Amino acid sequence: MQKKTFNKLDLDVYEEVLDNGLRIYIAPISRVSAHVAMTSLYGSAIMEFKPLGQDEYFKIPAGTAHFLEHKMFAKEDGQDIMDIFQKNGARSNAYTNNHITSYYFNAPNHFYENLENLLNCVTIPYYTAENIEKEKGIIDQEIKAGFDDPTGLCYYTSLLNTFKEYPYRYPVAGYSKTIKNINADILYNCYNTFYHPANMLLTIAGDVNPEEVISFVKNYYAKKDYPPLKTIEIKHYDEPQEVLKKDETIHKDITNNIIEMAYKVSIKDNPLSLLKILSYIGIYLDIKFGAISKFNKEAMENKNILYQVGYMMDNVGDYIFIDFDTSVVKVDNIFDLVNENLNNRDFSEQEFNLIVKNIIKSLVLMSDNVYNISNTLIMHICRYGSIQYDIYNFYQSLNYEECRKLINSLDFSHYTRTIIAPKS
Amino acid sequence: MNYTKYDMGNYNLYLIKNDKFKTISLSINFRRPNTREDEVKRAILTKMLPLATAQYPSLDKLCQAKAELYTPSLNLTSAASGQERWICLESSFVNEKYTEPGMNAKTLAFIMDYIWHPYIVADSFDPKIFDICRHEYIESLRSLKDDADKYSRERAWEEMQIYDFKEMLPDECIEFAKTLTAQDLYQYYLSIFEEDCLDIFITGQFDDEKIKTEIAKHVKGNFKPSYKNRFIIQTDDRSDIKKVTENSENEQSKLIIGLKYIEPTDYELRYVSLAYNNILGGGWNSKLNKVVREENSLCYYIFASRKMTFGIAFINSGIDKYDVSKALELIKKQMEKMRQGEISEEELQTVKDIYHNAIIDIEDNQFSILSSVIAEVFNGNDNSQTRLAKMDKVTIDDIASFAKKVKIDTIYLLEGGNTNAKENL
Repeated sequence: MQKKTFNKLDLDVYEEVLDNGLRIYIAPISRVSAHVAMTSLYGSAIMEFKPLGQDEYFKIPAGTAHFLEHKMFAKEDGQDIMDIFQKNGARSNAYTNNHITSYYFNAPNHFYENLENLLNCVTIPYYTAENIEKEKGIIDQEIKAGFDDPTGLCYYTSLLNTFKEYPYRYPVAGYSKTIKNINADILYNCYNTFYHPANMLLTIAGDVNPEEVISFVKNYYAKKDYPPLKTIEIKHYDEPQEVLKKDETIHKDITNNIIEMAYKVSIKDNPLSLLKILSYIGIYLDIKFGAISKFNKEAMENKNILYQVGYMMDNVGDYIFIDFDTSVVKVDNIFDLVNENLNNRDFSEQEFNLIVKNIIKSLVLMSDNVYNISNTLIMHICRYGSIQYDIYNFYQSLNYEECRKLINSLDFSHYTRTIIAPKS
Repeated sequence: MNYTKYDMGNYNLYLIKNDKFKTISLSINFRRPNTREDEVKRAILTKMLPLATAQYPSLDKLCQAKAELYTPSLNLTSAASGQERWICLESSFVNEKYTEPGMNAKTLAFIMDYIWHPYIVADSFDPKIFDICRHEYIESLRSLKDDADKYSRERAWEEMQIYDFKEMLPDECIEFAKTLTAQDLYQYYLSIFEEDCLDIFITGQFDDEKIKTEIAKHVKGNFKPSYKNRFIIQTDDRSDIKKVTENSENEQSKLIIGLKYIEPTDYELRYVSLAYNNILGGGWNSKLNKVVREENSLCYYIFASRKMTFGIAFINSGIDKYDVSKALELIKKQMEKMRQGEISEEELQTVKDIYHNAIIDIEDNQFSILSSVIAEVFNGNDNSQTRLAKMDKVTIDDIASFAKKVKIDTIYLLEGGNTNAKENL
């Protein structure tokens, strides 16, 4: 067990790697409830891979990771994972995104009973034709609700049109027609490969004794055998810089237009670290579109724009995916406004410093909350491969000129525009 | 939760000391009895006030000043609870111990300015900002149906006739909003400082005297004396269940069942109804989730939500239109089981354990701490220890007896499946 510290954040983390490869991160903090998560580094954007012990690539339908998440709660002995959490008064749930699948509980008591239950959840698969068919009805309703929502429909369309090859283009839950093809064989192949302890993390934030916890988890896994797992071979896709489809309009029975503008920005061969690239682009977006921006003020004063223009970004292979969305009475020049502002690239050192100051504030607050601590640990491993214990100093060292240079080097010319428009 | 109440003359200040967090959080609450027109005026007002202050009349300058103060969170809302209508400003900011000396006072002053020093032009709100906010409010009502979940809940609420006065329907709100001017709204804003009562709650690490002085510097007004919220007591005045169906081109149908608690006792309303709600539709192992979702695969979600101060609850689900009759039958069967007391000791104990954990968990979140104290002060909630003791006394007989006072008032269905929507792209 190694003790590490987040510099300047009063937050210690105890790290351990078990013989089977499971990585454990424990952040002791004085809170009533502990937040515990078991996370597989397997998300919906993995759709072709070599299953453990096999030499051939195996292709799976869109929505499989999410389907697997649902089915991890089924157990052969009839044990009901959620029922046990609930009887212990724990809040618990699971989620899948493009990058990970995570299972968690948050509770003030019954810590070891809940932890064992969580470990049972992710280490005991039970998939049958019957329980898989039953789940399809439930997930089909989840998918339909997502596509009925005009904002959801706009986002799914936008993703589909941005990427040609990356499976990131598909909704996390898949489609009604793709989940129909999921069967026990597919689920077991995914489970055996991606739910191997060497592909998982256990993160804990709360008032716990790290040594005791690690000992408990070691004992738990002592009864289980896993074949060795080296690197999981996941199919690499050559994603072109061009988007698949530049424009799409879908008509629906709604009142105003929902719009989405998504950019695919190449960072291939960029010498800066991914952490720096994401930090600088995030700062730039905050300056140009965030609360302090002139754009935000003008959007507020523009009666055609009904909501603040929202923005998000994600790293997808060789690209940064940047997505803007809002609702407008008329489509007019909204896309031009966003595009011109993004390509303006002019910003001051004062604006840059103001955003950095607030990023550091968010970092301080992160260390105040068990949920945020656990999620930060997961995000660092998933995105950067290790915990960034010097993140405070890293943000303080960010450099205005370096940021300008990066922003000026980026190509914002590859984008797709989606409109969910009223029928009449 | 231990708190200290200070009578500040025309308002009350409640301080809840806590050294676990790096932030200071506060909740400023204005309340008055609800009327038909308050909803519209307060909705527009709470959109306007965060956009400009006397010192920072433009949004970008205001946001830059906010960022200089390490961006305190700020949430201004208007909502109804029982027979009252609130304006509530919630905010949280980093304690100066973790930023720079003097920041607490500066940040408090900045937050208070949103309420006490808005941007005024010649005895009126700025007509331009008013016009933008009114437009945004009207568009949010016009486009309500675009969000099927929200629209269904609103429609079920309307059909249930919760108040003893007739609420404005969305179209009436729109027409009323169109008649308002920036001057009208400014006059209404001024009335808040005469006709509302004011209670301020603050939690975090601070010196009581210092924070009292800081708050007193900014608060101005001749507020009404504070009082307990009045709950709405529902009566059994509808002989049949009201059934309303509307069409939608969505694939999924939204089913909302409106329940009324008919003249419950105070104990039933505060404790037994909570146990009833959670056993019927409160979580994963609720009767509705087990039967409708897990056993019959009819939906992704089904849950019951209780609105204690209104004496009502809703059962919410998203379902295929061909399964609605079956789902309704199953739901009614589970409600009948509740009436018959077909509840296991295990089900009841689980609800009590969840409640116990929810109470002790309050200490982990500053806004939960504030909400808990606010509920004690405004709604007459018992303190945490008493709540735990009273919940522990709830029996299966209590729940069965209360279940007989739970009446299905309205079944609202937004029926989907009437479309050729672009399936699966």
